[in-house]
Amino acid sequence: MGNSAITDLSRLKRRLSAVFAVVAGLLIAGGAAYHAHHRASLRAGAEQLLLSTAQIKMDQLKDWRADRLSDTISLLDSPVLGLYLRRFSADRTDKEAAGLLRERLLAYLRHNPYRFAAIADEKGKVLLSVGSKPEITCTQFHALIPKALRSGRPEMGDFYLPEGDNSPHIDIVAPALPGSKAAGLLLLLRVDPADFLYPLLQAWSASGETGEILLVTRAGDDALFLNDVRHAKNAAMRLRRPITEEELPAAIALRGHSGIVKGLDYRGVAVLAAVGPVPGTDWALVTKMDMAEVLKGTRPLAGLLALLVLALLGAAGAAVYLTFLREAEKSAELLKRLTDQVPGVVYQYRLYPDGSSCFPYASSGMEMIYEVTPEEVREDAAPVFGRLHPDELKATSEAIFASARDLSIFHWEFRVVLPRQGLRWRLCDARPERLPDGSTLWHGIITDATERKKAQEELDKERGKAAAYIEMSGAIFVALEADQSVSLINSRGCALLGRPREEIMGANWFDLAVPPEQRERVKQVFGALLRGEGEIPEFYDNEIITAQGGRRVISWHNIVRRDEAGRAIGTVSSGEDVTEQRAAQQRIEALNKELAAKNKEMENFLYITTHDLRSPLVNIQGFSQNLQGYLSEIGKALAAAGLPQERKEQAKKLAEEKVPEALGFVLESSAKMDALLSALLKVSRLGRQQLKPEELEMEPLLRRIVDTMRFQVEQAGAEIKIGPLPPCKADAVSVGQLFSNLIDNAVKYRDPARPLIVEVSGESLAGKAVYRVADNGPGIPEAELEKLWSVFYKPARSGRKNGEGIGLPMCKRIAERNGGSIRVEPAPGGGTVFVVELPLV
Amino acid sequence: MDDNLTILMAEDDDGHARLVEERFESVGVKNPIVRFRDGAEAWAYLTGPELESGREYLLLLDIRMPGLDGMEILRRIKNDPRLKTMPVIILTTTDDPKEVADCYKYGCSSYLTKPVEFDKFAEVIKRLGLFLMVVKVDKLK
Repeated sequence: MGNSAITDLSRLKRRLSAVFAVVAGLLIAGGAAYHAHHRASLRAGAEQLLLSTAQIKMDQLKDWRADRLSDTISLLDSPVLGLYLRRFSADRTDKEAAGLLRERLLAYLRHNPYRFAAIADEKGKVLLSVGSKPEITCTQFHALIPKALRSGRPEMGDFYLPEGDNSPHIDIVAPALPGSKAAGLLLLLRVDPADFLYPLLQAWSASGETGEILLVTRAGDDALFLNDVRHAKNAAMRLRRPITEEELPAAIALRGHSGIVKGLDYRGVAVLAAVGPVPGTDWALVTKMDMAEVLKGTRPLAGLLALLVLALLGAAGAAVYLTFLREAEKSAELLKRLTDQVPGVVYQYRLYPDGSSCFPYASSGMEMIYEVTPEEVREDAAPVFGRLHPDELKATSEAIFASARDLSIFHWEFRVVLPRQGLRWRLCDARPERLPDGSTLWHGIITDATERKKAQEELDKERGKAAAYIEMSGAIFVALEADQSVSLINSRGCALLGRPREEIMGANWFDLAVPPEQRERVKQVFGALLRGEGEIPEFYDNEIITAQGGRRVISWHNIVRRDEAGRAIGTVSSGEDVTEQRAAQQRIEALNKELAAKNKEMENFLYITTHDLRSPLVNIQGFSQNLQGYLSEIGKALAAAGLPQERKEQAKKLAEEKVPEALGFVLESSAKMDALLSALLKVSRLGRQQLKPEELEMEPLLRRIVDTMRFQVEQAGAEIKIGPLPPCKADAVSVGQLFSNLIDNAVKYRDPARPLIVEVSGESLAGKAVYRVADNGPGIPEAELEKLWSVFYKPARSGRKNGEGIGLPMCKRIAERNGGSIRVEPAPGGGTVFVVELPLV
Repeated sequence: MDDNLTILMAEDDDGHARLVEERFESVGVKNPIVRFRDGAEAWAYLTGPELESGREYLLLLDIRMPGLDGMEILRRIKNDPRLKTMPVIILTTTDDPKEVADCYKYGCSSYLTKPVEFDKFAEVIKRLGLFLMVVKVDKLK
């Protein structure tokens, strides 16, 4: 039950009303329809009855007329009567004939529905008559005579009521001797309608209470009622109504209509009638019944129906109402549950014009919020105000008054001091409305804001700390808005720019601090950074101009600040003053360049020098050789010359020993010099050469080297083992020379006592390719390990072997120029290990 | 031996020049040798009146010479319509591959290095001499 969503009561009301209206409409319509249908069917039935009755009566009337006329014919058809008639016609004074005729007619009257019979002449004078009482001739009779004579057949007249008489009659006149021209006698038979006709008309078993059949005729401008009517006395031949009477069925019939007619009869009562003219006469037949009778029973039925409809409506109404009530109850329950569960109090607060106030409604949360019950403050809000922190009283009252005055939303945070909970923060949100009596009514909610307030205070403290850190920082902090204005700068930044903070805040950073010639570019970089375009380095340097006109180089780190939608709204930058650093860096670079230049110069110098030094050596050698040649000739000449033996001996000694010895020293020295120069030359040449570093596969390279040296290696009976070697990145030619040299040296300076084994191994270690060339030669004494690398090094062993080798200094130079290094270690177990390090691929 | 051939030698070092002459002699090269001490002298002769038309000339050229150096002489010779057919053999102490390449680029006919070791030096000159004995040089126009 408590889980249902709150029902919209007004909508429900509308819905239910609509449903009710529809149901009611249906019920009423149904009832009315049924009622109408019932009436209609009753009426239809009545019409049916009337029409069929009318038809019967019409037929009966026609038959009666025909009968009467044929009666007359058959009467006259009697030979006996004819005889008498002829006798009488021949002699009107023939009393016997008259008497016979009278008897005959009398006898006829006894057996036939006539009350008077007479024989008359053409002028209408009655010659003889029989009847129950004396009768006189009438206008009808006289009108019928010429008619009958003309047609030669019996003619029936219309109703006639003699004056002063109550009973009307109908005459039938026929020529007594038809076919006999000269007869001039007419027969009159007078019918009393009361004998048969009236009863005929009255005989209607289904006439009910009000039904009757009327025969009417036109008499002048009136409709004359020919027979007695049920509802009025002595109407026969007396009751008249104007033929123009609109709704009189009789008049309608006489006006020529036939069929079913609803109208007002001679009483003015609503009737249903079947009307129609009687053919062959001037009469009209009206078969009528009161509408009230026709629709008898509908009224009670209607009443019942209405009752039923009412009952059903009542039921529907009750159901609707109950449904609504139930929903309303549910709503009320939900509301209560809601207001009870809300973490706070939902309330109404009313401020009267006189300043007093109360809480007309407060949910159960009031007890938590203020530690007062809703009942306590229903009439007077004082207990609540008693809970406010004394410092808040004035401000709170003012805020309330302001909200009441402006009818503005009351949003107020304040402290309360509660008996159990102590000091707490409360947040109130309420909306006011003005009441007719001038008081203001707020609907609102008060919640506990203590936690939030605490959190807020923490946050503010942290913020304060953060701001302090930024201020104290040795780095420069600048925050820019998207419009290039400064929104934050710390003291270090102000100090750098040499301006007071007020001058900097809000100003355009670039116009203020960036040198003019760089402004546009830096502004564009800023714009691009905000747009997130391209590859903007997070760190970059640019110059800053100080207020004094100086320039400093700052290394900036920039971050783009974004809003929740991800749009760039500015930047935060931290910077270091790297002016001195950069200057120092530049100096270093300059020095390096100088150094490189000097080195180059040096190498060139070296190169030139070595060559120039070589030339004289050529001479020394060459001419020394010459000297040797000359010397031998001198020797020969001396030997041939006649000199004292002692002199000869002296000269021979000089020529064959001393001078050659001296020359030998000269040659040897110049050869040494040459070697040195060559080494120097090679070393310097390497410096001038362009190295082409490439990825080197060391194993194939070493194998090629060993292959080239195969002769020496085989001659020496040495074994060169090449293990797996990592590739390196270096110049192929020079590295080849390096390893060539190492292996060559190993072969050259091997230990004669044991077969030479050279092992070349390699690995990648700590980012370098490290190769080891280990031999089992005699090894190098510890003291000489460092001196090896000098160009002037002489290995301390017999016979300097002169080879095409390039020497260890060269190896060192090659290793270094390729970005590596070379060193030597004694091998464990005797021998030497050269360790060459080269860059990895 | 072609008697019509004159050997021109541009060599600033007297010692070297003497040694070359001696060696040629020892091999049997008897052609006249004209010696220049520097580039300027060499060029003056080459462009001077003493150069005889109809005679064959061959130039031994040292690169390192004071003043106008050998490279320049080489270049000039090879650019000169009259002189460019003259064979120029570079005979120098330096053996720097770059220098060698440059000389050939400029159009020297051959490049010989003077080794310091005398035996070798003598060998080189001897061979050169023998070569000269069989070589056919165009006559100068």
